[in-house]
Amino acid sequence: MQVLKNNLNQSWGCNTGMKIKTFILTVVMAIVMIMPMTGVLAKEPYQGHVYNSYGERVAAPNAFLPAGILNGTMLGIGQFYKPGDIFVDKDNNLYILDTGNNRVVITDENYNLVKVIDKFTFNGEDSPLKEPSGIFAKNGTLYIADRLNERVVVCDMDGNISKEYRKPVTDYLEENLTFSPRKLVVNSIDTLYIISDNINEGIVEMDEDGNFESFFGAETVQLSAEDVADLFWRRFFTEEQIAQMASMSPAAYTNLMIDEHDFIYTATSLETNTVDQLKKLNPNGNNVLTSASFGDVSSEVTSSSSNSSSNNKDANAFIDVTVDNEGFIYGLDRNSGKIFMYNQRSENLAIFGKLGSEIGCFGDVSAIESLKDDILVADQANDVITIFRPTTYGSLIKKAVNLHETGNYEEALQPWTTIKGLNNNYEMAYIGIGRAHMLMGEYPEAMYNFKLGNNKELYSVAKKANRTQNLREHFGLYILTVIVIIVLIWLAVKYREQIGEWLKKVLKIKKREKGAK
Amino acid sequence: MKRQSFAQMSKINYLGYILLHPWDGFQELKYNKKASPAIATVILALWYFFEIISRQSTDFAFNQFRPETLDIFKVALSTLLIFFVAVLSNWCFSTFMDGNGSLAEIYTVGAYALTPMVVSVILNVILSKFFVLEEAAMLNGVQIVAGIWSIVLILAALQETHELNFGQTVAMVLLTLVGMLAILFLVMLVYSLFQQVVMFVVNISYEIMYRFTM
Repeated sequence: MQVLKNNLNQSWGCNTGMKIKTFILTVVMAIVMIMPMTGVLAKEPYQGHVYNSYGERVAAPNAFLPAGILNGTMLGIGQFYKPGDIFVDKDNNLYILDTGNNRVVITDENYNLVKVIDKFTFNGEDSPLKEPSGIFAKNGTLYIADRLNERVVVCDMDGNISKEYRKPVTDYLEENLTFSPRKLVVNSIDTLYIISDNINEGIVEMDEDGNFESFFGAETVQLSAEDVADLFWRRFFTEEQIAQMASMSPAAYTNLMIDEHDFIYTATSLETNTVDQLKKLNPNGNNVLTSASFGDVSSEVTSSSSNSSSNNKDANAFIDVTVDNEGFIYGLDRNSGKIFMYNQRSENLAIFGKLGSEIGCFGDVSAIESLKDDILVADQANDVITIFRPTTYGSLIKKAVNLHETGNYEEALQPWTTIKGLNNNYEMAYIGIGRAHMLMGEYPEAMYNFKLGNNKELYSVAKKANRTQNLREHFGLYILTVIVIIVLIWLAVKYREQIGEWLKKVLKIKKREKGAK
Repeated sequence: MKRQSFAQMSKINYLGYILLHPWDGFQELKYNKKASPAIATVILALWYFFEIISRQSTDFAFNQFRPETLDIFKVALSTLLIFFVAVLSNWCFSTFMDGNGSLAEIYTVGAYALTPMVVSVILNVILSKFFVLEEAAMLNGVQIVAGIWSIVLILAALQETHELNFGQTVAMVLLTLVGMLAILFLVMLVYSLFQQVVMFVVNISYEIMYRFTM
């Protein structure tokens, strides 16, 4: 050993060429070792974008990035199979409805397994689920939309079913109609709101005892020119022909979610109409969200009027919606695999997510939930739950928008300025900065920023304030100008003949000069 | 007294007189042969420049256009080209209607008639700097007054230049509009046909080149 060391020392000491080689080798090794690390850090699976007020797609930093995935193997309970729904309760427990395996997986807020419920008993007998597709949990009670069993079950954490709701008895529903509940929520006084396949009158509202109450938030039929033409042709058609025609029914809700104030957020996959795909329904069933076009800007979406399936591939189909604890709304689009983030005024804040096979991209999304700051998306093709976490940019947007919406414009100035530094194309940042300047009485700066934010109304307000301020400060000057102009006009009118003569003289002189030449 | 002074009036003074006395003015203009194509060209050039300025520097609150997407050729298409097509179309139809105006006369009086509109374009830019959105009615008012004024001038100009009565003039204006559509359609047609011919020649030349270089 000692000999070997001496040899090494000798070789280190004597051979300078060797020394250089070792040095180069070390540097190369260091680079090779660092490279994959930076590669991983720099690699984002997609490039974020937003739409500006002209409807143009502009690049933006990513507001959310995948922080990891959650699958059955990681939890040690075998792969998920087509997870159809996820739910986060008030204590931040995550409930994963593993549709294909007919079980419910529960984790805590750090995504550690708490429990798997795969055995359900009703009155002491086995009563397994059959392709359940919706889950809701409240105070340790689970509500599951057990779709193919045509029931909604209420059970405890051990799978003991205490109650099951069948198809409500009411004249409004046809007798031979099968009840296939897809999604459900329960409000604070235990009223159930159920979305069922083939019931498109609205959300079925049921009381605690299973009595039908009403169709909640019924969608209105959008009558287009095509429909009017249909109505015309219907007069000449036979009954068979009419039966073949698509019925003019309202587009059905795809999903819903309830917040702590019992407001119900809904998603609609309306492929021909791109307005109000996301709604916030108050307890009366009226939409209280600012009416807007959600999703991709319609000019970018290929027209989907007549040729149905192939063409409207790009139109948005919102499959789920969620609201985080700060009131930000996230709409999940099944067709593009994108998540659209909105504030309570229906303004698009960020767009993230993508279809694909990398980690962080989706195959076929089914549900979205928010857990504290994280956004969770269930993917029923890849059988994983993807966890998204806000980037610095995303957190700043949340902070700035919160301050902005509560009217703390001056406090919001700092985050907005940072956001502007990160994303020059973010119009809301300019409007935020402009609002702050406006509040501080710096109207020219406010005008400048509102102009960059492309908001003519706010710009005009700032301009008016600026004008008033200028008038106040330089009142004498303005009055003087007006007086001088009036006097000049008066003089011109009074001495118009003399002025005319003088003009003629000037012209004549010119003519003479011309003549002389 | 006035009648005699018409003969001595300079060409530019005619323009001022026409603005306030359209029918008389255009009649005297034709009678005394004081129509100046040069002045007309200046008016048109000013119109073009004012339109560019308007798109470029109308105050943000009122600007319907995005200054960064300004394309002066497109501005020319929507101002000068339309004007020339209208003149051409009107000249074609003047034969139908027994009008007496020559092409140069139509061009000149047409440009004269646009004067209030041209002034309103630049006036709009200046006023937009002082007004805010709530007072948009003021700006629109100026535009509307100028527009009506120009339309009246156009009618007077056509009536006096072609020596028609009022009903014929209105008919002629309608025919002119139809004619403009026809001309634009033909231009598009010729353009696309020429494109095809050019592509054909280009393709043939490529074929020949390949034939001899292979």
